[in-house]
Amino acid sequence: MQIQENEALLNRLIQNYFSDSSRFIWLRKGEILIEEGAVNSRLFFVHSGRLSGFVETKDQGREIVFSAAEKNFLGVYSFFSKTYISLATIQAETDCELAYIDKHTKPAADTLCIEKDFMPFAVKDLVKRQHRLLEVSREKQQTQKKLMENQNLASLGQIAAGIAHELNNAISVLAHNTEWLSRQLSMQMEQEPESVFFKTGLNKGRYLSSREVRQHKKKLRADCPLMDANTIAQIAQMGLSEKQASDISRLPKTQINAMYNSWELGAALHDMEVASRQSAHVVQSVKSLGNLQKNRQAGVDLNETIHNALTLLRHKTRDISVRLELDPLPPITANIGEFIQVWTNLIKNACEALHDARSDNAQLTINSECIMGNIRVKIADNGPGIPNEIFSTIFQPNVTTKVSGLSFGLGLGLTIVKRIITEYDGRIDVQSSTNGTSFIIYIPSGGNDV
Amino acid sequence: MSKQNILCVDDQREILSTVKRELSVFEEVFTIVECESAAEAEEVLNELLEENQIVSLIICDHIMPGENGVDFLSRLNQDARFKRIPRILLTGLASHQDTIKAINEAKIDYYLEKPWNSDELVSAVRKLLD
Repeated sequence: MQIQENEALLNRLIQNYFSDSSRFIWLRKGEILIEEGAVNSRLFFVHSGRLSGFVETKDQGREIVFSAAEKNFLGVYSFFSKTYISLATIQAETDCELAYIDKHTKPAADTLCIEKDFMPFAVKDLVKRQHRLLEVSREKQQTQKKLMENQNLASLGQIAAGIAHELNNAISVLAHNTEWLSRQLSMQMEQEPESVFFKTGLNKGRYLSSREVRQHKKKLRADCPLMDANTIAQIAQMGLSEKQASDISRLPKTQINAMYNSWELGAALHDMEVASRQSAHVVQSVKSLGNLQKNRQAGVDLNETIHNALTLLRHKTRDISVRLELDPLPPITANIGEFIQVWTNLIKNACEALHDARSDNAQLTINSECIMGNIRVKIADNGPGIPNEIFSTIFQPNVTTKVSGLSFGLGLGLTIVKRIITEYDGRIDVQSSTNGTSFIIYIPSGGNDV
Repeated sequence: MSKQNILCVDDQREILSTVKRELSVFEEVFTIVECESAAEAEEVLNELLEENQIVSLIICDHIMPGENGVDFLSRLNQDARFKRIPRILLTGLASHQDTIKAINEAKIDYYLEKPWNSDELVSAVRKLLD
């Protein structure tokens, strides 16, 4: 109804004011109708074509402030405000046909004043312009925000990369010397009766959780009520099998002590290896935050990168049952480090969720497959799910509050994951309920199905 | 006499074992109890209390999965049973606010930053056990 009324009103205006061929103007594409700041006492109607109004600013250059197409008016502001000065330069974007009235034009026979006739259209025009400005300013705000975020990430990345470089040397020294020490001591221990305990410590490390050690202790206390607390603690700590434990529990205290010391020596070296590997990985992920390592290579097997990530996170997955269902995947061109980082972040998040839930049946399932040339990797946990209040923001960088995500990405874990996946034209989906969370990653393989 | 314990809380086993080894000088009198999370530490505290054992000191990390160290220690400070146990915060990173909270609410007795100096740890522990 409203539209029909407007249509009728417009037709009347055209007939009354914009049909006099002596007040028609034709412009070729690119021609200027009025310059910004020039005197203009005319109100134009666009019969055909498209024009735009722009202002020139020192900082931003040419900025379009409005556009007008067929059946639009031009010069509304200067005409009705009676300033008769054009606020913008108006240029034809296509060939145009315009008609105009000026300040001397008399009102039509059936009306008293021109302003009243034009009121609905003048208001509509102003609203349209305001709307446009609002949109432009909103867009600008968004762009600025994005720019600032990127700058933050970039400068953080640069600083991080600098630190990473320095740390790499230190870590290398520690890692290589630990390896050398382990080898030397293994050789020297070879002749000792405790060498098997040293090797267990070195190879398996502290694979028992503090909880398991306590349970072990309790059992030993019950089984061997005469044994002193320190010896019990030592046997429990080593994580020996029940048979081994009961065998050595009969030995003299000094001998158990010597075994424990050998085990502890091996376990300490194991700790050092784990720590240097972990530091190296932190450095690696920090470095890729700075975008320094961009080298992609052909023939990368993503399953391999999943295995790498699991190796690095071995200490986090100790009390979780990890199920791998990895189909053969087509090789892709990729940066291995980036993908290790993707899986590390996702697996680490899952482990933390499971750990927080303190479930007895903590499970992590990783499967990979290739469907129609798209690699799909799903990392699923049976944890408590992502809380609703943070679900929508999990991919946003959150350096200050997500303190528990520190070890591998400065609280930027999922932001990094998303950035990397996007760079490979991939996609990441997340499903979460109280039964668990799944992250599903799709990466185009660039080839056909295997 | 009841047994005395020193409770160490850190989500990394390697850190726990390092702290434990450095505190071995106290092991003639104290048992070092290791916990990998605040939740586990709370369980152990309750267990020890039931067994009439004494906890003489808590050494706690800050950033751990689940409840963080400062929140955990603040909670203990609200609990009449555990309020008097001396507390050391051993942390690799705590924000300014976390540190303020640690002092004001968790009422920590000593603050050590990772990587820590073992002499400083031992002397802080000795002072708090006296």
